[in-house]
Amino acid sequence: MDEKELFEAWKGNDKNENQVFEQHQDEFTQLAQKQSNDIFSKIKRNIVWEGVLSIIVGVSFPVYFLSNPIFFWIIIVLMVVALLVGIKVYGNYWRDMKQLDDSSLLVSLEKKLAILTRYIKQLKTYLYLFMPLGFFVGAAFALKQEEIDMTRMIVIIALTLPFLGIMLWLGKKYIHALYGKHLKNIEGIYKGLKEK
Amino acid sequence: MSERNSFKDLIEEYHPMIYKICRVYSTSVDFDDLYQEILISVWKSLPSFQGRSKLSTWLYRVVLNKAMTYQRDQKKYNAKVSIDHIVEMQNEASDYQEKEQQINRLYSAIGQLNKTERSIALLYLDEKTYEEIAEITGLTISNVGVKINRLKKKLFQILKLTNNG
Repeated sequence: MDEKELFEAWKGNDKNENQVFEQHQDEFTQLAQKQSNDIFSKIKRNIVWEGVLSIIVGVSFPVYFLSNPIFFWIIIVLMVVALLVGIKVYGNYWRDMKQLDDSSLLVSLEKKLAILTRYIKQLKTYLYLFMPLGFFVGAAFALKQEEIDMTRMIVIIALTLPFLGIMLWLGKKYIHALYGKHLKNIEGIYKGLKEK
Repeated sequence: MSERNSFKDLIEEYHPMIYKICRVYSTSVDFDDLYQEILISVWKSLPSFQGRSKLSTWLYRVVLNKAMTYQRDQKKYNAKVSIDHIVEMQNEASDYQEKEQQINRLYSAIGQLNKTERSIALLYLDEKTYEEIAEITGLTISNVGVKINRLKKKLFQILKLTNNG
C-alpha cells in the first residue's frame, strides 16, 4: 500500500460511519446518564467516594471520646479543622478543573497534570499532618483513661510509633491507588505527545 | 433552534471524524462505550465553545482529549472479547470485500501505534495541514513534521508486515 492508497482507504469508510450514526442518533438524551470510563471521570468518582468516607469517619470518630469532654472537644475541633482543610483541597481541584478552557491537547494535558499533581501533593500533606495528630490525641486519651505514669506513657508511644508508620504507608498507597496511577498514565500520554 | 438540535446537527456533520477517532482508540468490543463517552463529552463541552478557534479544531481537541484519556472497562472487555473473537473469525472466513479488508488492516495498523502517534496519524490521514495539526495538538509545526515522518515510516512498516503475513 502506497501513500495514495492509504488516503483512499481512509476516505472510503463511509458505510460503517453512517450505520453507527443511525444506530446512536436516538440515544443522545440518554447518554449523559452513563458512567464514564475517562481517567478524569474516574478521579471525580474517587473524590466523591473519598468525601463520603471522610464524612463517615468524621462523624463516628468523636463518639469514641464521649466519656471525656476535654478530649471530645479537642477531637471535634481537630475534625472541623480537617474538614475545612479537606473542603479547601477538594474545592481547589473542582475549581481548577472547571476553569479548563478549550486549549490544545498538549496545553490541556499540561494543565490537568499540574492540577492533579497539586491535588495529590495537598492530599499527602493532609495525610501527614492529620493522621499523626489524630494518632497522638487518641494515644494520649487512651493513656489518660488508664492513668499511666509519664515514663510508661513515653515508652508505650515509642512502641506504637511503627504502627503510625504503617498507617501513613497505607495512606500513601491508598492515594496512589486512587489518584497516583492515573497521574502516571496522563504523564505517559503527555510525554509521548511532547517528545521530539 | 434548541440546544439538542444544534448538538444533533453538529454530530451529524462531524460524525465521520468521531467515528474514525473511536475506531482508532477502541476495539469492536468497546467501540460503543467510547463513542458514547465522546458524545457526552461534546454535549457537555458545547456551551463552553467560545469561537476562539474553528469549530472543527475545537471539536478535534475535545474528541481527541477524551479518546486519549479513555480507559476501557477491563472486566467488561475480557468478558466480551472471546465472543468478539469468534465473530471476527467468522467474518474472515466469509467472502469479505477487499476494500473492507484494506480498511480493517489500516485501522489495525494505526491501532498498533501509541496513543499520541494515533492522534497525529488521524489528523494526517484526515488531510489536515501541519499548521492545523499544530493548532489542535499544541506542538510546534516542525515537531509535527518530524512526528508525521516518523509515524509514516512506522505505519508503512506495519502494513508491509501485515500484508506479507
